[in-house]
Formats: sequence, C-alpha cells, structure tokens
Amino acid sequence: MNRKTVSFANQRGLRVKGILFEPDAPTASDAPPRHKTGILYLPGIVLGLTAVHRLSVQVATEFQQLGYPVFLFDHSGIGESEGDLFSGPYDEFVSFIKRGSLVDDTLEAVDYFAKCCGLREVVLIGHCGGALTAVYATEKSKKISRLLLISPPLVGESTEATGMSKAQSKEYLALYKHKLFSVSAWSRLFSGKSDYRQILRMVRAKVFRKRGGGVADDGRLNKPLLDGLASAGRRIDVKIIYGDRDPGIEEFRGWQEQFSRWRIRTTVIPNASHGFVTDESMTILMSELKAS
Amino acid sequence: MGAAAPTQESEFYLGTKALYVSLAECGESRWLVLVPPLFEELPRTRKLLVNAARKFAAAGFNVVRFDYYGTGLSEGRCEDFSPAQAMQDLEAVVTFCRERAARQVSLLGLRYGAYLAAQAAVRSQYRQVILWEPVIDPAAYVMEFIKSTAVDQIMTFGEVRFSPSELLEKLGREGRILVNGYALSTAAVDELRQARALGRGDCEKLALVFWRRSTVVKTPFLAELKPIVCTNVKVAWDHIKFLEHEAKELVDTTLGLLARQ
Repeated sequence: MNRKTVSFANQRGLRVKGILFEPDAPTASDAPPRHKTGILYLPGIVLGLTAVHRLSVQVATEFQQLGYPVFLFDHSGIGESEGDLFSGPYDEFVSFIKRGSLVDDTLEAVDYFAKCCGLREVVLIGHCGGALTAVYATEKSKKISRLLLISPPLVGESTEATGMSKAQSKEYLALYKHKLFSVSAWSRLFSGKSDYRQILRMVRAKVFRKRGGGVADDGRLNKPLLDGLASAGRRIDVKIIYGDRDPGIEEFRGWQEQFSRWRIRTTVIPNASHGFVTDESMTILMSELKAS
Repeated sequence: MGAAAPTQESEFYLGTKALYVSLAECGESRWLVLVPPLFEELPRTRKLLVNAARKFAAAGFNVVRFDYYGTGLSEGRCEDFSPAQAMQDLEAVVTFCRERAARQVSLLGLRYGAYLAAQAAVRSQYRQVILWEPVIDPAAYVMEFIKSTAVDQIMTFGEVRFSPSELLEKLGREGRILVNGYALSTAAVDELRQARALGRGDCEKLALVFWRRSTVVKTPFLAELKPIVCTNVKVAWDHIKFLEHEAKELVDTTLGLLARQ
C-alpha cells in the first residue's frame, strides 16, 4: 500500500482533502518506471470521490500499478473537504457543476499535485460532471496535457430539468414496464413517493416524438463544454469514452464526426451504461483508459 | 453541554488493513465513533456524516469516522468487504480510541453501520449506542440490493437478463457478483444472508432515531419501542433526487441523546 492522506488550503482558506496514490519506488529492473506525468481523477456530481462504486479508487489503483502518481480529492464543500454545500434537488447540483463551480479548486489541485510530486504534466480523467470540470479547467492551465473524458453529458443546464433524450425516455419506459408488477412501486406511486416529474418528462418526451418532434437541437447543448472541447482538441490529446446505453448517447453520436474534426478521439463501449456497472464494461473502460 | 473546545481534524490510515480514518479532536474525554453505511449509501450520506462529525466535535466530542476495509477510501477491493471484517474494523477503531485514553466511547451508526453498532453493543460496553435508520434484517437488505441489479440490467442491456436467483447461482460458481458496480464476494453475501435480524431485545437499551416513518411502520417491534422520529429530515440513502448535507434536527436530537447520563 502506498497511498497517503494529503490536504492543501485553497484560495478561500478552506482545506481541500485528498488521497495521493504514489507508485512504489522501482527496485527491480522490471518494475514500472516512475512517471513525470500524474493522473488526477474528477468524479461526477457532488457525492465525493467514492461515488459510483469507487470508480476513482479503481482507476487510481490501476494507474498506480503502472507507475503513475494519482491524486484524488474532494472539492471544497464536498466529501471530506472543508466548506459548506447547499442542500437541494439533484438538478440544482447538475447546474452547479455545469456553471463551472468546481474549476477553481481543480486548478489549485493540479498545481498542488504537480508541485508535490515534481510532475511535468497532469492528465485529467473525469467522469460525468467531472469530465465537464476537466474541460473547463483545461482552458486555464498549461500543466494539463491530456483529457480522458468518461460520459460527459453534452446537454446544457436548462435542458436537464425539462427535457429527456430518446435514449433516456426509452430506458425509463423499460424501467417502468419492469415496475408494472412491483407492489412496492405501485404503493410508492399512490402514496406520492414516486418521482412524478420524471414520469412526466418521460411521457412528454414520448408524446413529443410521436408527434414528429425532433431530437436534440444544438440550442439544447452545453455550449461552454463544446467550445472548451473544440479548443482543447486543437492543443492537447482528448479522448471521450461513452457507453452505448448512456442516456446521452444520442447527442454524443450526433457530435462524433465534429469531435473527430476537432482531433478528439472517441470510443463507444458496448453494453455499458452511464455508471459502468458490469464487469465487462469496467474491463473495457479500464483498458481504454490505460491504452490512452 | 459545555462550551465547544477548539477542534483539530486529521485524516490517516490506521493499522495493517490501512483503514481510512478521520479524527476530529477537541481534547475532551468523550469519544464518539461514527459507523458508516455500505455501498452507494456511503457516498450519498458522506457529507451528512462529515458535517455531523464537525458539529459533534464542536459540541465537545472527539469524533472518529472510518471506512471499512474494501470500502470508501480504505485499502482493499470491494470484494474484500465482509461483515466479519467490518466488525473487526469497528473494533480496531474503538481500540484506537481507547489507546488514546478514551474513557467513554459512544457509537453512532447509520443504516448497516447502525446494525453493526447494535451488534457491537452486545459484545462490548459503550457509553451510548445511537442507531440512525438501522438496517434491521441484513438478509433482506442484501437481497434487496441484489434485486436492484434489475435496474442496472435495464440500464445496461435494455432488459433483465439475470434474476436474483440466477445471480446467486453465478455467485456460487464464480465467487463474486457485481451489484450496482460493487463486487460482492460469496463470503459477504453468505454472512449477510445468515446474519440474525435485530429484535426487540437488541434495541431496547439503544437510542433509535428514524426520519422515515415507513421504516418504523414496517417493523412492529420498533413502533413498540417508541423511537424518535425526526420530521424535518430529508436525508436519503437510496436515491439522489434530493441531497441534504446538513440535518439540523437530526444532529440536535442526537446531541440531546449524547448529553443524557
């Protein structure tokens, strides 16, 4: 085991806490070399770095074994770090991230990591909202040499609360069909505990499409993200990895050609959801990350 | 409760299992160990526990939080988690407190952590044991968790390919299954399925705090024990539709319980 707890004070005077995974010092001739490139992982949403089945820890362990230092941290207000975070509905946290609220701490974390491990460059791996933050941060740091973006949601802030993509509505429909025979699901529905807004969004999306409504127009998309990707693609190596069952796959496929024009590499993993919850999808995800 | 002592927060890895530990020290003699939930319930409630720990520390407790081996920020792979190991981890953390001259140690557990705290109370003496929304029956809990893969499967394959019983067969054959992305070992599933459900006798002397009335209604002996039910707490462990990171009523209620002699 070669991981340690670390922290730094951010510009607002709050302690940002994290874990540094250091590669073992090479002792044998076949040991992986110590790299001057470090990996910084950014988790999605605001549940901290253990969310989504400890994906961050799994990524960190894999890259540590390859000889890379890896840094995981919680932004101020999140998880272990100091600072307050508001309470509220999920959509508000999505907007919070899409507005770039986590960029400043990310930039400070990049600097801290580079300094404490003597790194020349830092690779950002971000999942979901973490991928958005990674793109935004890249605009402002020359130390970031590469982006590996897992399932970045392409839709913008206003769309999240009201709209639903075709893939999303299809998934929810399958889910609700499955729940047709669940007594507890019906009891939740009649006791007011179901997410009526979600059901309404799904029905609206279905009805709208049946009437000939269109798929994602560009106005629905997250423009700062697309601008950031266009700019990053010209400067550094960028790769986007998506699961073919991700609710955002439709928008992603619509932009794949444009991404390739921006010199951004893309991969779609078969039978993989947004959270990569199967052994097969996790294995492919890890090999895609390591191959990059 | 006296004036809050200044607290100092530190994080470190404890023991040969390298358990992630966070210690908020205030220099007083009362110690409180927060016993965490499992799987995705852990990140969903982490900020609540972090904030609560800071409030308890400000109120004069040395507060220790930790992650079980194979969970959270601790060493180990997900499949290394087992209930027996989790109990050992809790005991290692309590030993750490006692080695730091803790005379009075209390436990506060959330969900599976509350179940574990109730079990620990049978084995050892604690000043107080407080259970927040405890898992009552680990066997039902793990089966619910396994059943929840139906949602995963729909999200991944567009259909349910494996029923819970087929997943258990797979577990028997392969020694592990993935549930919500968490690898569960045969040992973990078997131990949880064979674990004794909490009964009235286990809970009589413990402080029970709920905020979902449905939990109490579903378990008749809980209603008989007249637990505290907080009415303004929205903390969820089973979804992220609403995230509550500060639960004042819950923390104030718990501080009231901790202040009792």
